[in-house]
Amino acid sequence: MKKAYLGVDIGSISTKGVVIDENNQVLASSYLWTQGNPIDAVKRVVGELDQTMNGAGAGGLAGQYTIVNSGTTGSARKLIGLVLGSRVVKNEITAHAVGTLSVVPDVQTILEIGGQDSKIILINNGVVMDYAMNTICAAGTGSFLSSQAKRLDLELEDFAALALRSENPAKIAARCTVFAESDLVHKAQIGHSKEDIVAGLCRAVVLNYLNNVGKGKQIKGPVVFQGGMSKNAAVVKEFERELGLPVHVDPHGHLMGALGVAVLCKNEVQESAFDFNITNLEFETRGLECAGCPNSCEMICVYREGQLLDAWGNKCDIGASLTSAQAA
Amino acid sequence: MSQKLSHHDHNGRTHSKDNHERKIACTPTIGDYALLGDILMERLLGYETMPCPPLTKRTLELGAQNSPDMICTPFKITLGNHIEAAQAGANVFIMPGAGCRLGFYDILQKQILDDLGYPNDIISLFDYIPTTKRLFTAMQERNPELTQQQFDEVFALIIQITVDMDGLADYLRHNRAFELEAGQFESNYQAYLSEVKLAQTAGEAADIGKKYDKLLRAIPVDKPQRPIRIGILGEIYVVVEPFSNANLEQWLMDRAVEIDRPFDLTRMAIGIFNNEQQIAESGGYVNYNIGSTANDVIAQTHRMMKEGVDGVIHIKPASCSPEITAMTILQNMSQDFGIPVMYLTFDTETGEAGVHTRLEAFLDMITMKRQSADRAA
Repeated sequence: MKKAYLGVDIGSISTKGVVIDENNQVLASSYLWTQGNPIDAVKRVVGELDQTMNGAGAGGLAGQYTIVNSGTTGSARKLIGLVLGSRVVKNEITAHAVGTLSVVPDVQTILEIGGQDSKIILINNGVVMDYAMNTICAAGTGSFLSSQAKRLDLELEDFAALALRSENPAKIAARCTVFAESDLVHKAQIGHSKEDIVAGLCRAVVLNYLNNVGKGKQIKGPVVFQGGMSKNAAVVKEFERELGLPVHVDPHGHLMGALGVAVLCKNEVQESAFDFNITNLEFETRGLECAGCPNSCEMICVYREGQLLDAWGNKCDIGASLTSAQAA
Repeated sequence: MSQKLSHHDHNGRTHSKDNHERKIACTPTIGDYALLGDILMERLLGYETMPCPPLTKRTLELGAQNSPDMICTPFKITLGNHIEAAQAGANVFIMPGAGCRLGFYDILQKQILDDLGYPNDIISLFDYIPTTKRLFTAMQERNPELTQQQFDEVFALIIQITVDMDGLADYLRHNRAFELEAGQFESNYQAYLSEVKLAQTAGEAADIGKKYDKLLRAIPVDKPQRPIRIGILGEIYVVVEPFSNANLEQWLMDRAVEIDRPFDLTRMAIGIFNNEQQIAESGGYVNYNIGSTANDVIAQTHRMMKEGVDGVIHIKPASCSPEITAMTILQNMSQDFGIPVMYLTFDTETGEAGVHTRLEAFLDMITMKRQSADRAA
């Protein structure tokens, strides 16, 4: 039986999973919407991976591999790490850097714009030298563009094609979602065409990113662009124009976080085997508010088949005693 | 005890009309420094003191709800402290004064407490000019029998305790991550604080300080030759009050990181006199006084980078203008030295997950960088 490693990236919008072999080659991958239910999403992803890894039909690997370690990243990494019994639970920044380096070893800059987060990672000789991440505000991220698409009655998929037709992008304030939106309404009302407005929005995303996340950072090539926003060709074109550098978008760019944790799993000394059977188990989470003090810590208890697995969210021991009472 | 003497009216406000003369002082929570306020109030004015109710989400909510929206975060948190303390019966509050907008906190907070109907006397300790004149005058106004000599003795005690506690805490930050038996540093430091609180003179306090310095240095540690070292600096309130910074020092020390955090009350007190020297020590990155602690942030970052720190974390409350000025200069320094600086801004949000994600990524980055440098060497 050959060894394989599972990496899962559970983001706010989508959930990604990959299985790699010992040479970092992707054996199976899956990409699904999270739909506000990370546990369910990860079960579906694992189900799809199971089909490829253990299926006997065309494309199936018929159980030649056994998964000896699993890892998670993304905003639900802690919860899903518990569900999968993962040894590696890593932040998205490290995971993306490691994943990208395994595919593009000479990368110097990673631009990433996701559903709620955006970040920049600067790399020199295969080592992360600096990074930055958007702070409190989600302006210029995927959720911003999808809400503006709704306002314009457009499908997000049609956005780029429309924007690329524009020859004179409208100037749209890039600093803040609220200003951008009122700017957009204003431009539409005074008669700018839809393609100019859409192109202006794509440019606003790029300018917002470079002015906020990329502020003061020296961006050197090769530049790799990732995250859901990298699927938008108009945004890619704006980046290339602003940076004066070619911007690479890998068709598997959305898998880099998952790939990164899978690679980190491979580097772990200790192994803890993964069982595809988790898709048949019942997982449940319950929220509760600790009433021990005015901090009112919001706690989450995670159960497997009715048994308390773990709980978190409490800042002190009062909360801990609360969960042990729940377990009893 | 004070609650017995006060009653809540239908608005939940506390009145203590039945004992109008009784003064109960409460110093807001700023790291471990409240004990200094207690000593001033007890020894110079003969007031009772009350420990500040613990900082919680409710403190933030009360503070934010009653503050101007755009004001800096420490204003909101300390106002929350005052309100909770007032509800528990306190009627005398202390603010440090001087600095930046901090110098006006007391005036506005008094107005807000008046409007809310809480009887209050806010004492602002220091002026922008570096003397104790304002403090002495403020104390004498409230206690006409106070002599200069009495004042000087208590002030010397305060200085002694400040210097000692900051020295001990600094040693702790450099070593706690490597203690062999978890909790030894913290329990010894807490024991120092409760013991020194009872010291009557600066001499007594100094003896207690020396005793605990020995105890702390005797704690067995397993510190590597070159541990990962992170510098933390920025605006003084969020630097010293763990509640306001998602307790990031603790998070890092739990992961075997040595902390170089030069900012404490001692440094602030000396710093007020030393802008010229800070500019001289900035390595040419500052050429004139850019206000408040920003000069020192640059000078200290420059020192740490020259000493080969692995990374620097700069923290500030939302809308802190002196620190925003410092940030642009830190970016240049970071590029020149090739040492990463991470910037974090804290407001009244309480989610720690985002901060911990960034800290983890920062720590991963500098650890991997160190490993690769070591392999190359």
